[in-house]
Amino acid sequence: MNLKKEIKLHTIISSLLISFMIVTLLGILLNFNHSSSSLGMELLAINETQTQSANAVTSVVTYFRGLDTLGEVTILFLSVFGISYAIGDAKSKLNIFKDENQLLQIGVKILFPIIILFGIYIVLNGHLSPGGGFQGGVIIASAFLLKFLAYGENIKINHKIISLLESFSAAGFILTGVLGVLVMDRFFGNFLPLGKMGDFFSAGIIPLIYIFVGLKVASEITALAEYFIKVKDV
Amino acid sequence: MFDIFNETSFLHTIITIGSFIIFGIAIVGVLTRKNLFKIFLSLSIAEASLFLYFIGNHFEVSKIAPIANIAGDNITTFSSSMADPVPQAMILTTIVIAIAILALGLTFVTSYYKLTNNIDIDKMDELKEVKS
Amino acid sequence: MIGFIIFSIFLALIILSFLIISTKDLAHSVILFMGFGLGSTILYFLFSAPDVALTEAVIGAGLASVVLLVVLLQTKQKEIS
Repeated sequence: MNLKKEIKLHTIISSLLISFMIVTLLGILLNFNHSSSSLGMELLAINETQTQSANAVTSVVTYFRGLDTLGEVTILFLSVFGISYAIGDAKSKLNIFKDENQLLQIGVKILFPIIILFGIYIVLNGHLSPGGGFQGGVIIASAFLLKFLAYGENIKINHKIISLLESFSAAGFILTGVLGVLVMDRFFGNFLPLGKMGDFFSAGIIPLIYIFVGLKVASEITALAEYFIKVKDV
Repeated sequence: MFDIFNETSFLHTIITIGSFIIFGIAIVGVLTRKNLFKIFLSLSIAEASLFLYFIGNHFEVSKIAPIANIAGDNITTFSSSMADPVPQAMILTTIVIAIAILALGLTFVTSYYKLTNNIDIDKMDELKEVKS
Repeated sequence: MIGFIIFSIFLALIILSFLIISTKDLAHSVILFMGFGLGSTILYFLFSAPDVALTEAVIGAGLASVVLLVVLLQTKQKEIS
């Protein structure tokens, strides 16, 4: 590979200088040595009494910092909206996977319910073990992607159902927060009973929020994958 | 001989230097490649290196994951020997946002290819200045 | 012991990222990007962050690579650098 002619010396030096400056800036912001008594340690101390959830990262994402998750869900929705706007009407286009694959079809018939079951399991156990809405939603969407790969042109996804699911889960997410204001004292207040740590029905509204997030992420990534495999004939 | 590898500050130095080398290589890839697809791929590598830097600098050697285990063999409860959960929560949502933005950018590449049938950046001269 | 494993995986990631930007075949670079995601997953697990490791495994090595391959198929690139 003759890289000497393609990459000049001043490109390498300038990129090393830029990356050195960026990493120095990040180091200054992180104070170069992170002291252990910070926001995270105090949140760990109050995690057991305020939310009986065994996974501290889940309770930070949905309960202590639920507003950031609302912003992230909005950004996901905006990007899929932009993709659908750029690609256009998806009903009247052909699939890029034209050939049907017999071997894959037989495999998909067995694998598709197993992968969806696994995804639902990861979404529902977000407060007991590593997992949650984002991971489980992408796993469910990858099962649908496998179906696109196997069946070629003969698979059709009902876009009305997908958009209905997406809007329903986003509305449910915001409704949970508003119910927290009405029943308790703040947005995303905990109005369901807390239970005991380690049980399946515990930790208040945290599994409910993650169910809404998981449904929304799964339907959005499925729609994204379907937009990508349509060939737009110009 | 490898005793120094178990100190936290030495590991922080290794993670900083390693992540800025990966970032530098990815920026060289963005600046010198001629194919638009490869430019997007290098940008994605640059983002991944910064996520590694962030989580790496909040890591201390003898801390365990912030998940409590109340049944089974070793019982752990929430104490100060657990890792910090806040940067993990931030990076988790950022990874999902990064893939959504990558998908949005790649849509424009596909649309441009359907219109003009090339993705070589040397031949894209619609916005070039007109030499008068 | 863990420090030495972290150092060696970082070395592997540096070599992988150099190979990704310098290979001429575009499908090769997508497969190597999947390997970069695997290395990232191992590193997040060693940093005591299992949630981030699960997310990076599912998204970085699963969804991003498939999306990149489908775009490669749509733009019909074969062997250009």
